[in-house]
Amino acid sequence: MDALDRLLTEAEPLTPTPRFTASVMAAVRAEAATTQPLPFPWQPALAGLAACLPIAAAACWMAIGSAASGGLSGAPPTFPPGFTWAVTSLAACFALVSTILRRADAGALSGLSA
Amino acid sequence: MGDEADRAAVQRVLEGEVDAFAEIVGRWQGPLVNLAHRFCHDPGLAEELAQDAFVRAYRALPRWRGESRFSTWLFAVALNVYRSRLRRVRVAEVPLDALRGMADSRFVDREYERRDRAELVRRSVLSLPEKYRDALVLFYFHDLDVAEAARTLGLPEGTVKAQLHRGRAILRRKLAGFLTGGDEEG
Repeated sequence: MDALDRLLTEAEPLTPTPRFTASVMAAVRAEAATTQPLPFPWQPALAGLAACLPIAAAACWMAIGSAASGGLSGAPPTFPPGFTWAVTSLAACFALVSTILRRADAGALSGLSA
Repeated sequence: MGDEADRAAVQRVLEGEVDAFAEIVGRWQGPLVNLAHRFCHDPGLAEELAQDAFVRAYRALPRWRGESRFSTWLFAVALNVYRSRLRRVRVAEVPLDALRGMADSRFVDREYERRDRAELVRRSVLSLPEKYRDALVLFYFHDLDVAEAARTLGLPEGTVKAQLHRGRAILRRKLAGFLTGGDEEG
């Protein structure tokens, strides 16, 4: 052990002040009170996703059918009357689910995976 | 045995008994405050940093997998807190020119000189690049235990040894006159 080692080893111990534990525990209790994670609402989210599936399937089926009939006749494809409604509903569903996902905080997600 | 007590306390905290965390604080407040003090050399700031570290550890407790000793994990959490805080708050570093000046000066009280020199050398560690600073601080904090320093840093021992070697070489070069001056009698 040389001079440098001696000087760096002999740090005088610092004793925490008597209030330290109480101060830390006050901060911990405040943390515990404010960060009770809300459970992520998986059931509504999954129900929303499940509702999206038939709508998406119907929209795809209509789009493919319309494109195929347009392609055979040579005329530009025409969409059936329900198509706009289906696409709008689909977009609304995705917007709803993405909003739920965005609002779910990281704590709730990590709590779910733990 | 200490680790078992820590694990039991962690289990109770995870089951909702927040006050069980006081056991962990009581057991580790000294080491965490002292580790913080080695990074900032300010007792008030050291307690503030240690408190942040405990709160961060409490928040991260559900993610502790229990693979390592609790203390190793706690020190790693604290190290991350100290590093990120110290990047934002500049700690007063000692200009190395001031150390060289002290080597030439005459002190009446030799004990005062010795303690003052030791404090200034410890502060000079903070002027090193971060990776050398962290390796040196943890190595001396863990009583020259490279393996424990490596575990806290999450690095292989060989990497930490290389960082220690390089960091000490920089310090020795910068403090050359200061280390030899006045140390012979001690």
